[in-house]
Amino acid sequence: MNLIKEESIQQISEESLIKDAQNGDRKALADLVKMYEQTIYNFAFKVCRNKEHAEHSMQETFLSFVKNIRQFKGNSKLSTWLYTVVSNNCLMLARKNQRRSFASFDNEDDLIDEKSIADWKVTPEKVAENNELKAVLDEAIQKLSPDYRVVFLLRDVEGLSTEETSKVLDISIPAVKSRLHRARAFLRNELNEVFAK
Amino acid sequence: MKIKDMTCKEAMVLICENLGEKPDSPQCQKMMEMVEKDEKCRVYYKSLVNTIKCYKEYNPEFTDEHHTRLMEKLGLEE
Repeated sequence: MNLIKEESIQQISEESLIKDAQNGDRKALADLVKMYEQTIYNFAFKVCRNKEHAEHSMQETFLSFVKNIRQFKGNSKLSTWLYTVVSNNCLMLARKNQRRSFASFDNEDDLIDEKSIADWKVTPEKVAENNELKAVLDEAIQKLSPDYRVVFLLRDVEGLSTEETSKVLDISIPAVKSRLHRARAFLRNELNEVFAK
Repeated sequence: MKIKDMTCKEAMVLICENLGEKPDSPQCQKMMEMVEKDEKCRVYYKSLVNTIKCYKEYNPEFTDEHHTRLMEKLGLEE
């Protein structure tokens, strides 16, 4: 079965679960939570970089989902709706717990430096099994303001389109593009310092 | 901007701005032409792609305990 068929079957089954959940079927509601719990936890962790905060954000997101399921009209994908809620929860939590200053992008010229180009000795596959490399990734992304971090994660890591990211964060498309470009260049530079040969 | 007039730094800006955008856009075509012909741009492009892959590959563990605590919080225990 091809991917498009599989995706449309998943879409139909999700739509039917949403309808059942809106009519009070608790099993359907639980199935919808199960479909997205790991995605939402992973995303929350990637924004918060803290397991407790990630779990709290995930729980708050699904509490809001369960409370508001009847109001969900299906104008956007359920995943987009969940990303909107979890992004807001993570950003609120980050602002509340802000104890560090973040990278400034006043001088954009500094972001891209021809002299800092080198092949890397580290491949992405190595990162998944090495805690020291994970710590480098954590440290680098935590230097980014959460407003930039969340754009990079939604667009590049979760694979949302520029338009979807703009809707989720309620910011303009030029703002998404500008934050994404700065976040990408900044993170590459940070990793390059450690990963370059 | 013609490709032949583009500096490596300008190409790097294009790479940062256009990675993942629709590949048939003129900006992306310029970017890919520069990536193919210039070694520095190729290395920069690869490191940017790997930056994204690193963050994609790094996922926390989602345990049965996480699931159980969530379902309890929502009142949806099995």
